[in-house]
Amino acid sequence: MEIGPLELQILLAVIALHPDGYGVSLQDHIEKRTKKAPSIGSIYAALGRLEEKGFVKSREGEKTAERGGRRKLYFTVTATGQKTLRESLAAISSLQRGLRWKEAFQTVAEAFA
Amino acid sequence: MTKKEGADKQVRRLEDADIDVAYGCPDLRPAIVEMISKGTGKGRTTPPTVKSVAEPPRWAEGLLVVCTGSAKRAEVIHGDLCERFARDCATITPKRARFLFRARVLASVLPLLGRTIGRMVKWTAIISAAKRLFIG
Repeated sequence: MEIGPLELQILLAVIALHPDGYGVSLQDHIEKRTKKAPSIGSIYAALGRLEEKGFVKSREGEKTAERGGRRKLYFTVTATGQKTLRESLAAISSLQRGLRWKEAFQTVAEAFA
Repeated sequence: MTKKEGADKQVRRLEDADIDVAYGCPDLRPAIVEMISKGTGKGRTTPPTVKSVAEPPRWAEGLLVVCTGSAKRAEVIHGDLCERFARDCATITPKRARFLFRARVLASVLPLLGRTIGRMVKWTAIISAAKRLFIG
């Protein structure tokens, strides 16, 4: 099953923050690593898609005063999600290995010579 | 300083402090309560409630319910936005924090709405296909 770039980032962030991955912490983690912050809406839309596909599951957390007495929703990656993530990363890695860096650099060097 | 200037200054201080309290700076609450008890508060007879402290604009939750189609999910998203708002209040001015809160809500509307509409279209297509197949 296919997953998009944002979904891939979210799955990696959920694993990195396990078991404390929720909206704000996921956004902070992604922003820190990629220097780009997806909106909370984008994160929840992607998490909704991942939940529908069975890649993540959620559990309700505690209510806090700074959230105006609203609950947190923590996410964890399921076994299916981990398998899909491994396959996606392996595919990216495989494509990366096929790159002809040496030739590409030579072309660029020739262009600037 | 004349008596009138003194009164104006007190009213201004109260208004400024009131805004700060309303947007997440509860440290100023005792000062406001004291000012109100001394009768210097203009147009206000009761101290701000605990509920008004750190409570960002309320229209956001209604908008998020419409966009997500789920009150439970909207509550969680609104909670996240409130958490960001409370953190912002500690570092930047309340006015800027309110502006950022509104910007974050509006940035969240489009992806959530897109997903909700997508789901509605998908289910409408499934139901109409099932109707055509079984009813005729």
